[in-house]
Amino acid sequence: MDSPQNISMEEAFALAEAEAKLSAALLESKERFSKATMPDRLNEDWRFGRPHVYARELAARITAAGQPRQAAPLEQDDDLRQTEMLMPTIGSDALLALHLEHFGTGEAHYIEENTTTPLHVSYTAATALTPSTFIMVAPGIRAEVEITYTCADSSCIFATCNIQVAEGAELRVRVHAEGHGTDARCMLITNIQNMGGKVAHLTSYKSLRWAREETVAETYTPDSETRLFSANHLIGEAVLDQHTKQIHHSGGATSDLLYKNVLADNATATFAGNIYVAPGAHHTDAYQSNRNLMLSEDATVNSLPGLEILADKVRCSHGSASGPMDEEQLFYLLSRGIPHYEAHQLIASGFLDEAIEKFNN
Amino acid sequence: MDETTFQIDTRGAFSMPENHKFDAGYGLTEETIDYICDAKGEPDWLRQFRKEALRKFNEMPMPFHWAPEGIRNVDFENFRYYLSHGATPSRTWEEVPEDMKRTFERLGVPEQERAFLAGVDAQYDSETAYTNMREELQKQGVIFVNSTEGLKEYEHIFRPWFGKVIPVGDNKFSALNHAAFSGGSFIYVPKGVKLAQPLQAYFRINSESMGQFERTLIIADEGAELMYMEGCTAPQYDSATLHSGVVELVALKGARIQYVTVQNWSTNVYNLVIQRGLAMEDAEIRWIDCNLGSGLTMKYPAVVLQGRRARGEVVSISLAHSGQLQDTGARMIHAAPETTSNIVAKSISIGEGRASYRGEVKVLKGMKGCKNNTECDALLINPASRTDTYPAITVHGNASAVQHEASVSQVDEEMLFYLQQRGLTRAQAMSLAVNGFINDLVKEFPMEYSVELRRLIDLEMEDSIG
Amino acid sequence: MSLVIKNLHARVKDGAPILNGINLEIPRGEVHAIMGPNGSGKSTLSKVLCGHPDYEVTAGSAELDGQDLFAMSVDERSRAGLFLAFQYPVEVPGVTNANFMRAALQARLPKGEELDAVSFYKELRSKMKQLGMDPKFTARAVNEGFSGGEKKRNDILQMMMLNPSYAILDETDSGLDVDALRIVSDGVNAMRAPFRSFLVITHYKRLLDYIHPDVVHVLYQGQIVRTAGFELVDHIEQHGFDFLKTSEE
Repeated sequence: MDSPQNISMEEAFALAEAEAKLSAALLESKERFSKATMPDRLNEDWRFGRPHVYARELAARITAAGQPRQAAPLEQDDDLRQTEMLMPTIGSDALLALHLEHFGTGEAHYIEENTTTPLHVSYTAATALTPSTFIMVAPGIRAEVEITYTCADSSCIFATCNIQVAEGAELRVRVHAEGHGTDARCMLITNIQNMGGKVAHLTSYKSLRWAREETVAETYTPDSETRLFSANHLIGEAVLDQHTKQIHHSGGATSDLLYKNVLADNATATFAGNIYVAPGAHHTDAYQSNRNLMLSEDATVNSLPGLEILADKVRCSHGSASGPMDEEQLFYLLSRGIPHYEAHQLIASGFLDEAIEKFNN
Repeated sequence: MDETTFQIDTRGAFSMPENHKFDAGYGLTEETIDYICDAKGEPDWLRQFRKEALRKFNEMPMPFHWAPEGIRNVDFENFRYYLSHGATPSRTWEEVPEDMKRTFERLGVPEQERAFLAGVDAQYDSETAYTNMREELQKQGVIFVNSTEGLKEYEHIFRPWFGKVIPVGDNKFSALNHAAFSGGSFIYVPKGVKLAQPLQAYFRINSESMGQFERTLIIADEGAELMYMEGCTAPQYDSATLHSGVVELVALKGARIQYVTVQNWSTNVYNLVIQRGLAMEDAEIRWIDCNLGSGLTMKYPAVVLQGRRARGEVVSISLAHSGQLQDTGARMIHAAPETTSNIVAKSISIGEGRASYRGEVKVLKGMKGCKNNTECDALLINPASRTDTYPAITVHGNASAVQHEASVSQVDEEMLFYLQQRGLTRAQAMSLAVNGFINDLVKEFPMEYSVELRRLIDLEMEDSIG
Repeated sequence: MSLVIKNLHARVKDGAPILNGINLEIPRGEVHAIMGPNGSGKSTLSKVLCGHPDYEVTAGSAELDGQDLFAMSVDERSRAGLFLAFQYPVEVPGVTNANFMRAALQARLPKGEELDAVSFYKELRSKMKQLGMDPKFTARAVNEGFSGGEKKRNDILQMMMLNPSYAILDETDSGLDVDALRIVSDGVNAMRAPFRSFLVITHYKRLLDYIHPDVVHVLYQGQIVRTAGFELVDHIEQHGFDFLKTSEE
């Protein structure tokens, strides 16, 4: 690396300009947080999300647990803190502000070499945990990451994850959140910035009373490919509230999303997705699909797949389908002698496997 | 039918000098309401009802949290809430005042009436200038009058359903309409009566800064069938005009109502309309909706499927060119078992135009065997054109199936090249492609309207590309 | 030991009657064929015997080796030895062929007994080889993205794995080219045994030329109107089903 004395005039200007941009952005985000209020029923990003119940409860648990000072490896790193300050949310700026107050727990990984085995990151909450994870993959590098969140009964995890993938890099991230007992809760805010690499991101939520996901996947350069998946089998009183944005800042990139749920008992799933193709981001390919298999008459699905297309030469589609198990499939399995319960299980897990399979490939 | 019969002024870009007997002035207050009630000679209960609605209107917030930005520019102080020549419509065209008659003749209304309509209601600013229906229908007990007359003469049928499908407090604009309504149709089709020809309403805004708040209630009794068509135009003014109608449909057991709209307001018109139908057992309601004009349209025809096996359908075409936002869509509420609904929406965005689909499909708790299918297709013509899709789907239970598909596409350059190579201009080629895109939906309109529609689309394409 | 159908009446649920008193006895070891014009009720018969939920039996009985067929659920009938090769085999997304077959075989074992995975795969592979199927099919979802012929072959594979006592082939020949038809028929012929019988439903002679049936029935308007030997097949091939109408007049 050049020492500051050796840089050219142009480089110095570029550096100064970048710094000015950053400080302006930080100022802006400070303003954003100062204006942010706790989500309420007029917050469209919390439509069907019952913010007065769930957002409030999350904030209460985080606040009650206090700040975990001992385990705060990220605390001294201003760059990471700034990254988190700049990350977008989907209707939860006020909650992100709360997260920033507790900033410090978490891990940062700069991946500069190909990895053969997945990198494991895991967090376990006994009462409340607010981890931040940073994953940066260098150009041309292939990597795989598994993030696991485990929540004890009555505890919660409120996590952020920032993923940056450089040109030609390939990253596969598998996120699994699991709860114990009857009242574990989890909220994940994720920002994926794709600068010309390939990213596959899979989330799954298990045994959580409440889970909310806000995933914003941004593509900045042509030839970026971002694929988002989720596969969940929701039982009991589980509430899953997923919000996604596929933002195409530049043209010539691809994004794809497949979120699938199997719902039993009293489970509720909300999916609100948006594909945003910015003006001038021509030749974009973007797809989005939400599929729900309903197994119980008390299950509820809210599906809000959205498109906002401001560019030309775009191939975009979205779909949403919610319905009961296919009678013909069931009959086919039964006709081969597979008992009712097993046949249901097979079809339900096969339904979810489609998303997992696509993530794996 | 000879197509040349309908070479009429479908854009309606002309105006007549103002000549009003009644003018309530700008803004909406209790005094305005007193003025309207006095002019119309309305009973006391209606006066109180309107004033109560005004209170609600003033209390209720604008839907800023979800509505398109443009709605922030609506300034309720700057509209005139009642302009008329008198509240009694003529039964013959001869009796219609000359300026109004000339207007409707230019728009081809009397001509269409003679050719294929069962009845016509022609509204000019706040009041109906002309209402008439074929004699044989009167004998069958069909009622087709304007809303003022409906409330006066047929209160026993009108009042029980008035505000039942769309209540006063449903939203700010329904409160507004309940307070200021004037004009629109009241239709009752008795049990088993099936109208072979459509009834038509034509809504004409002539005056500057007009606020038109027509109110339509259509009741199809058991087994009855009818088609109702509405057309609308206004001259282009610099100041804004507000059109905020309320349309309520009631299809009783086994009845069938088709409601066709071809909206071609000038771009200074805010078109903020509420349309909702109630379909009882085995009944069917279809909204066939085409939005070509207006600067900002917010319109989501709805069907509440209230009876077992009821069916609902929305067929929607929107065309947005520069300076227009067509925020259109559909709502389907499955409130009874085995109800089915279908939504097909196609939009075309030209220049810097923006077309949005906004929809809601709901299968309520405990409902079984319900089905909805929604298809939204958007066509983008220019690089700066914009399209959005905002559906919201809620499904309870494991015995219903709901499906939504949407796609965005462009006109295939290869196809344009092919057509141009064969000698068509780019505008002609584009027009052909656009017509092809909406062809299956245009077929849903009555033939006389579909001819007109194609002509309008050709005109739009020529203006934007040619 | 036989499949005995007596006076069977059935209809689409809340709909029109389709089967109007079928009498049929298929002893083990025999191969029967059912022919008949479109809409005569051939496919309905196979679905009713297997318990498809779209149909309801309004009268009559069916016994499988003395057991009341209609008292059993769909999967019980299968485990009792009844197999249907579907006219249109169903796609089951996400469920692999191997898992599907394992679940079906596992269900046939006594409680607490585990299917031996090694011998299962060995058997599956050898049967697939016999049917000329790509070994990669085991990892693919059941019938998903399969061609018509591949689906039919997959159903025959399932039949070979499940070893039924009574197998119904519902228009298995439709959509098969000549080579595939021969492979499928070879598979069926290899399974012919004194303890197993077949009911072959078809429109055409070509399948029956490969699988030479012992008895041929003609189904018409929901009833068996003719029963004879193989010579009936030739008669139909030459004269079509018109003789049914003339005999009616």
